[in-house]
Amino acid sequence: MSSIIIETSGLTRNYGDICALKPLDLVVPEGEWLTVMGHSGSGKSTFMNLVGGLDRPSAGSLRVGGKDLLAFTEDGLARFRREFVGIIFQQHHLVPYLTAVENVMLAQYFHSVPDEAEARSALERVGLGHRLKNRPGELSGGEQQRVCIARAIINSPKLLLGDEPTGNLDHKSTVMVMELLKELRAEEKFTVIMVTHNQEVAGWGDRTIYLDDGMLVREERKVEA
Amino acid sequence: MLFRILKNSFLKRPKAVLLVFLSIAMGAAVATAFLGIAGEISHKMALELRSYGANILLEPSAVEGGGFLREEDLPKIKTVFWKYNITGFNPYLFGVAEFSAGDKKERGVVSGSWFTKQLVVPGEEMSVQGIKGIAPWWEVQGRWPEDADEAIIGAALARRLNVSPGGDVTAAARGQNQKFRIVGVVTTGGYEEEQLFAPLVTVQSLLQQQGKVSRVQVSALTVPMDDFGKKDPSTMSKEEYEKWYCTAYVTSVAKNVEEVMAGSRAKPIWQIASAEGALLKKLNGAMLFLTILALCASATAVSTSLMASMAERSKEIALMKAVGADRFQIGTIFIGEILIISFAGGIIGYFLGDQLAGIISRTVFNSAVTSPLWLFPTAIISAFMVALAGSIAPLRRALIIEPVKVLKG
Amino acid sequence: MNRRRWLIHLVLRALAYRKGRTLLLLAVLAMASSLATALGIVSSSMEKRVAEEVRKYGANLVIFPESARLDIGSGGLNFGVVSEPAYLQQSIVEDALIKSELKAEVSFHLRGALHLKDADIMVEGVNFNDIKRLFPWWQLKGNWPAAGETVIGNDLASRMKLKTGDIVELGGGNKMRLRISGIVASGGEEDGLLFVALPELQQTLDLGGKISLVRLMVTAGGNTLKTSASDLQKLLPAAKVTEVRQTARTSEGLLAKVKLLMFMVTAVVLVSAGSSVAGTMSTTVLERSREIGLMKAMGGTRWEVMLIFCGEATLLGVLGAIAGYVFGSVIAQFITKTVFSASADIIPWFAGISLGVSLFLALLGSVGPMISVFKLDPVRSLRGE
Repeated sequence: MSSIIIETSGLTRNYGDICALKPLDLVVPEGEWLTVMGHSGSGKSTFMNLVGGLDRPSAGSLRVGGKDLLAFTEDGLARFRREFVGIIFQQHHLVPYLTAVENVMLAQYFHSVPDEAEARSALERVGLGHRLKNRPGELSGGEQQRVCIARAIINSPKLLLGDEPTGNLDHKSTVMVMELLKELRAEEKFTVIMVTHNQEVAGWGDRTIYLDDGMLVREERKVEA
Repeated sequence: MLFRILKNSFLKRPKAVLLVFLSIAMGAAVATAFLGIAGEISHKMALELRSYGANILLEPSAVEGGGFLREEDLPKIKTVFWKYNITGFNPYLFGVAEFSAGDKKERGVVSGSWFTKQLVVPGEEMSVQGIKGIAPWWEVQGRWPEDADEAIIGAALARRLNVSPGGDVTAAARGQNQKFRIVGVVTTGGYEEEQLFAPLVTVQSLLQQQGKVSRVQVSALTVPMDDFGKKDPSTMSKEEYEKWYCTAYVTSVAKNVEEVMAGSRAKPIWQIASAEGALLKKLNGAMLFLTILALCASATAVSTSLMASMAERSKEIALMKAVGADRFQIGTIFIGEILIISFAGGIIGYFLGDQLAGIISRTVFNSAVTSPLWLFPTAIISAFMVALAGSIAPLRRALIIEPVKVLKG
Repeated sequence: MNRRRWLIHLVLRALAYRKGRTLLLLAVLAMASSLATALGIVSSSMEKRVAEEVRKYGANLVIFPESARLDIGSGGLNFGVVSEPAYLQQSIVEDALIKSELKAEVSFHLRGALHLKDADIMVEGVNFNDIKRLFPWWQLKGNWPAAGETVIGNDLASRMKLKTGDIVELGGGNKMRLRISGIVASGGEEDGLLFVALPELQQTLDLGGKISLVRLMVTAGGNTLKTSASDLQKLLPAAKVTEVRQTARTSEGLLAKVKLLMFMVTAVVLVSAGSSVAGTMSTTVLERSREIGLMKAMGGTRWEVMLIFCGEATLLGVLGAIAGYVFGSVIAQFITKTVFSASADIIPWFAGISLGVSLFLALLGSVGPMISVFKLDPVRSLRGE
């Protein structure tokens, strides 16, 4: 039995009158690839933001990696994130004036110390060893997303969050990115929480939960064929 | 429709609009203040230089000793052609007297004068004339005389007679005696220290020269001398004479005053007159450059704010284009915005600038200044011009860019 | 690569990416600090410049014998001597001047009465070269006197019906025969005097080595005029050393006013520049909200992210200061050359002022943006709001 990496009880997020996430009880074991599915507005991104420490719950409890996230200050959450979490977004959010390797080094800077050699090898690992000095504007969508992946894993996070990372990519790039993530997970053994509304992407996960209108409505486990 | 678009544009981004508005208002205020002052600075500096002392002397044209000027002619000085240039004047009546105080006796000069006399001339504003105004470098320990039998005494004379404020000095001249209560001791480092100064009327009666005056000092605002001003008026043609007379050279102002004082001869006191011309020219020059520099700096600041704010709105412009507006329509909207903001900013800026000019003028020169009315439209127009100058480049660039590029991010 | 180098690298990249914005901010910062520099330099050399101009007003110190009367008059009005004359030893005064190490223009004067035609007139002995320096306002019609010549005051000339070219015979102990080389008008006491060479008058009056009065034009030095006067006084116990307040005191007041005016003008412009910098920087933050959100999402604490922007403001401040100092110094030179026909001093420590102004404006302007950075919610900014 693996240990629990995420444990929530009554996790809620309100914005004024709007309830983005209704009280949610969830347990995520370490190393699991969890897919969170739902239409836009279903609360899936909200859930991810809460789990990643980017947002604060309005009510309920949330423990990630054994730590009580509600006890952290804002800066504390930042430090938690840099140690523990890697995030990939649908819009890649790369810094436009830094090269690929510099974008990865930025993540290192906030964590500890920028290390160009390490950054380079991370980019080589994601297949971009020949595009180190290129700016985001010079990279294709798939390449940009791979830089984001390199950036997300450079500090060896225990938890990798993806908010529709392939939403802007074509089918070929989507498959490439998913393959890469699968390989990396096998190597680094991190937990993956993947938010998507794409059924095909969902299929890569071990378990899928469905959110609708802020509530958990269905849960599916992948059957090992 | 245009109006509604503009209204919404302002309402939706209050902070940004406010920032631009403030920037323009401040720029207009600075411009108004400096331009308002610049006109005055020259005048104020010239007034400052008057503190060096009188630059024109009136003497009796009759040969030494014998002649006098008439006290009753003095108010006419306030009615001459150059009356607004004359900042002050002061009459003197001199006489040699024997001073005694206690057991000390000294021979010296008794001088009758005005100290702070309120002069009322029919048809003119009331003014204060006298030594205090004309010679601000006089250091009086004690106070200035107020009553007819009070006097101030020069420091050197006071030392020799061993008197100080509160003491008495008796002056004897031509068989008459006059006792003076000393209320102040004056230090100047000059001739004054050997004299006793008392109210004119008292000295006139002591010397039995009622209604008479030996000399008059006049302090006037003049323009720097040039070769034309130095010409001898008697050699000038009629047009030249008119031109000379109507230019405030120290020579022509002197002539002007000479005309109303019967039996007088006016001379420029060159020690004062020649130095201040050069100094004034230089100070004004320096001030002019600095004002220009300040205006440039200010204009840069305003333009920058506008460029920054316009650049920020490239997305908005792209959106408008995507929705179907053409460049002309978009340009109109933005220029309309600029027009409205700079109009409002210019108005506020003008009033702020007026206040600012007043503050600066009061602090530095202790006098008020009102901004000329023509600055009002100037402030608004220049606000618009500077705002436009700042906005043009980014606006053009934003209009040219493909909306797709901007919207995609 | 260590953290500090990386930070600098990041800041440089960020500034270079937005060239237009960076240049704008640099322009404002440079203009503001150049104004401060230029005004500062002109203002500090103003003293010297104005002092040079004020020299044209004449002497600011006078030395006369303790026991003597000053000739009577007031601000250019002269009465003549009222009592027994007293004298100073010229050599003693010269020694004292050398000892005091005062930088000053000096003129020696001797007054005495001599008989001319059928009247007694006041004659003054001077060195005409000194006169040219200390009395630049003399309006001389004719020529300066050579040996055996004299200059006569306007009023005296018309009274005695003399003109340039006439020969005058002055009676006294030893007679003097002189040719009038010019007539002087000043509007002051000179108009009633006759001027001859000092040594000749000393000889004629049998007052060898004696003088009645010394005038000094003390050039602006380290000491104030007052201290110079009292120092000199100590070296001349038998004489009285006095400030001529008319010239000395007035220039102080004028100078103070000019400096105050320039200071206020600078202050106003700095306020205007500061708000412009603030406005520009705050729009920059708006544009970069995604970047900021990203950095926070990556685990940057609020202070760490603010440090990056602080670094940008600081770098802008420093660059603006350098440009401002150079530009401002050039402008100051230009103004001083054009207006005062002199060169301004190069004042290195004004670089410090320029730096202070520029940094102050840059950092002040970044306060608002810093607060925005601090408060920014990464979730919302990453979403694109």
